Amino acid sequence: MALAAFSLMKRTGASPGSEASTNWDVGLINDDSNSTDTGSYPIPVPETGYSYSYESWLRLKCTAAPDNAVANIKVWFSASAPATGVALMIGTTASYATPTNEASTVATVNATQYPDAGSALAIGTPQSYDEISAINEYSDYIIVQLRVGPTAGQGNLPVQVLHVRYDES
Amino acid sequence: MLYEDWTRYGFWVLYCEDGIIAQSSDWGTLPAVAAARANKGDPLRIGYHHVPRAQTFGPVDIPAGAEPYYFRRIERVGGRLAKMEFHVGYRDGERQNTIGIDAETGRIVQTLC
Repeated sequence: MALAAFSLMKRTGASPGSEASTNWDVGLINDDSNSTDTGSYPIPVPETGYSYSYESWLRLKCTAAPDNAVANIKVWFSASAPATGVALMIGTTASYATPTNEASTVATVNATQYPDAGSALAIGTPQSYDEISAINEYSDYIIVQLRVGPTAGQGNLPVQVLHVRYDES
Repeated sequence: MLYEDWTRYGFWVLYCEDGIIAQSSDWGTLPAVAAARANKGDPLRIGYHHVPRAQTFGPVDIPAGAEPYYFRRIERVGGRLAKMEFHVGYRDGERQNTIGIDAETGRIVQTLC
């Protein structure tokens, strides 16, 4: 018997927007789309203040159901910033809002504050008991945004790896 | 390499004083088996048998009134299965007591808490 399976979905566009699978590959770009083409949608390095990617509104979609339920969902990235002058911001919420490339009001915490499983960001679900038990059920949204400051250098950033942990019964 | 088929790593084992009541890799049957045996005078205990190491962990005593508890703790990195643990024990209201066993190594990764 196989484990439960999930797609990582990304919702884009003016609310209510539309959603597509990312194939677990998300572009943090200056465009509100599912594109991963960072070269075509770069985030400018500002002279002062910050520049931002568009928010990425992500959530888990169940594609193979667990025996009973999946619960206690947590996510984290890394203890290190992507690069000098660049921060990966993260947050979670239940309801979608049109993505912005200004400072997010949801992704307000530096992802370095969630460095590992023991200090991860807890993600709820729309279902009872914050569980996922059937195909096509979702988690709440995970919102991530790149914040670029004037000390950042030009060029591509290293890949940021999303860790997801949950308890399955 | 980790396999999505968790049944190859082992199975839970439910005991009473007389010995093994049931053992299965079908996690869904545990509540019914335990409920049928509960309040019959025998303290229930639950363990986990790890097939690759041919070793049974536990058993954990399940106090009267508590329910046997089991789950797999899954970690996916960039979408790929990176870690799997098996946790068995019991749950009593908000209180949870389990031991966790790493699927690949068979090491205990979490003791009763």
